[in-house]
Amino acid sequence: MPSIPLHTTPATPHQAPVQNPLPQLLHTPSGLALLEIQGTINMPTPPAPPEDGEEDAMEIDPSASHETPIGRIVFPDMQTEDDRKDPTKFKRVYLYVGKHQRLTGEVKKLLKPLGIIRRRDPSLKENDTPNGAWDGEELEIVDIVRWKILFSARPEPVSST
Amino acid sequence: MSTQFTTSIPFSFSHNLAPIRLLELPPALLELLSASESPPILKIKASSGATSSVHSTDNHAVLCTPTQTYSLRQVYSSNSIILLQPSVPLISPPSDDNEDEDTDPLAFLQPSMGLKAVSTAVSYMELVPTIHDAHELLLKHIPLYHGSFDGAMESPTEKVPKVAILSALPISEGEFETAWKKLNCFCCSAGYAHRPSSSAVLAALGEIFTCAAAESFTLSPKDGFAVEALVSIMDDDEEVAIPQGLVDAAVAGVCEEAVAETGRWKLDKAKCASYVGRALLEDWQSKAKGDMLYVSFISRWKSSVPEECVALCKLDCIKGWYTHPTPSTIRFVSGGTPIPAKSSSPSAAAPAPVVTAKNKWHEKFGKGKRR
Repeated sequence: MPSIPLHTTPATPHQAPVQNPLPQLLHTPSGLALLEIQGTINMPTPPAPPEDGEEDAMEIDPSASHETPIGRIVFPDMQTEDDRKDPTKFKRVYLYVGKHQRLTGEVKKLLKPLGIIRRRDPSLKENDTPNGAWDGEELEIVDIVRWKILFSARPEPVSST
Repeated sequence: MSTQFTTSIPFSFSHNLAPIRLLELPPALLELLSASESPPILKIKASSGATSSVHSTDNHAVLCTPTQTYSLRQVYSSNSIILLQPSVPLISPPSDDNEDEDTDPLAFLQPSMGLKAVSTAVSYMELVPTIHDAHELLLKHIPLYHGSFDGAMESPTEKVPKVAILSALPISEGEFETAWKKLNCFCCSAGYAHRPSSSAVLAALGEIFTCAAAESFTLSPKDGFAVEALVSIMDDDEEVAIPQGLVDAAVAGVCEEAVAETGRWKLDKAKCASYVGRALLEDWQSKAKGDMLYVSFISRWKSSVPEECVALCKLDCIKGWYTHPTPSTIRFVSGGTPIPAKSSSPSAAAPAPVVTAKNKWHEKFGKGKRR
C-alpha cells in the first residue's frame, strides 16, 4: 500500500494577488476562488494543445490564444470600494455569458471548506528541507476555500449592453 | 472590456487547465490544518493492484493524519466546479505563467483585474471517518510469536519489519501504535514485528516474576524500575531466551509508568491480576482444551501472579472476559474493554463488541480446522 505525502502547506509561499477583484470575503491567500454552475460552459473550441488548436481558435489576437473570454461577473449591489467589505452587498451575483445570457447566482458558504490539492512541483523538492526523503509523487494543499459563488438558476436572456 | 472597477469583472476561461483535486475538510481536520503554524504532513495511502488481494477490506484510498484515518470517497456533482484566479484581463498581453499571474509587472498598470478559470472539476473527495479497525488489522497482519523458552526461539514463518506493516495498513500511525501496545506487539532484535501469543506473554511474565523474586528485585519501587535493569537480572539466568521487546511489552501489560513518559515502571497490582487472568483464559481457549475448571483456573491464576497480587485475583477484575458455561467451569470471552481496569467507561467499550463477534467467528473457524 504505497502512500503519498499530502503537504498541508504549499511549497512556495503564496504571492498574494496584486489586486483581487472579488469581494473581501472570497479572498484566499492564493487568490483562488470557487465558482459553481449548474450546467456547463460550452467552449467554442475544446481546450486543445496549442499546435493544432490555434487555427480553430476564435480569438483574433494571437497573444490571447490561451484563454477564451466568457463574459463578465457582476456584483450588482457593490458600487464603491467600501462595499467590497460589506457582506450584504455581494449576496447577489450575475454572470454574463457572452452578450445575451445572464445567470443569477449567490455567494454561499460551503458546509465543509474545500482544500485545493495539486501535485507538488518536483523541482521544488530540494528547497523543502524536512521532507527531502520522499522520492515520488507529492501532493499539497494549495489553499482552503470556504465560500463559493453558486449559479443554480437557468440563464435568462438579456439585451446587449 | 470593462470600465467599472468594482462591479464588473471580466471572466475568461483558460485553455491550459491545471489538474487539481478538491478535498472536503471535516471540522477536525480543518482545525488540525489551521491550528498550528506548521501543520503535520498528511498521508494518502492507496492500495496498489499488487497488495489489494491480500487485504480485502482496503481496496480504496485513505487519508491519515497522525492520529486519525479517513476513507476517501469521490463525490460526483452534476454542477461544474470552476476554480477562479485573479488575472490580467484579455485585452492586455496575458502572461504565459499559469501559476503566478500577478508577478507580471504590468499588472500594476491595469485599471481592473479579471478572473480566469484555471481549473475545473466535476467531483470532490469526501472524507469519511475510518471503517478499519486497527486492532483487527494488526491481529491479521502481524505474525504470531509463540515463543519457546527451552533455549531455541521458534522462528515465525513471516518476517516483516514494523514499518513495513504500518505502511501496508490503511490506518494512521497513532492508531497503529495504540493497537500495537494493546496486543503486546514487539520487535525482535532483528527488527521484525511479532505479536506474542498469550502463552508467550505468560511465560515471559512467569520468568519476570520468578527472576524478580529470586534476585529480590522489587517490581514496585517508588520511582519505578527500568526495563533494562530487569533484563539484566534475567540475563543471569542462562535458560532465558525472551526477546527484550517481549519483556518490554509484558512489563507494559502489568505495570504502570511511575512517572509518565519516563520509561520507569511500577507494578500495578490490579492491572497485573486482571492481565494475567485474561491471558490464562485466552491461552487455555487458544489451545482448544474446552472449558476450564473454575477451581483449577483460580489456582493457576494465583500461582501465576506475584505474591502481592494474589489477593486481587477475583473474578471482578476480569469482568466481561469470561462466562460460566456450567457452574464449575469458566470460559474466555474476548468481550471486555481492551485496556483492563482503568477504562471501563461505556464509551471506550463501545467499539469492542464488533471486533469480538468477528474474532469469535474467526476462532471458531480456526478450531474447526484444527480438529
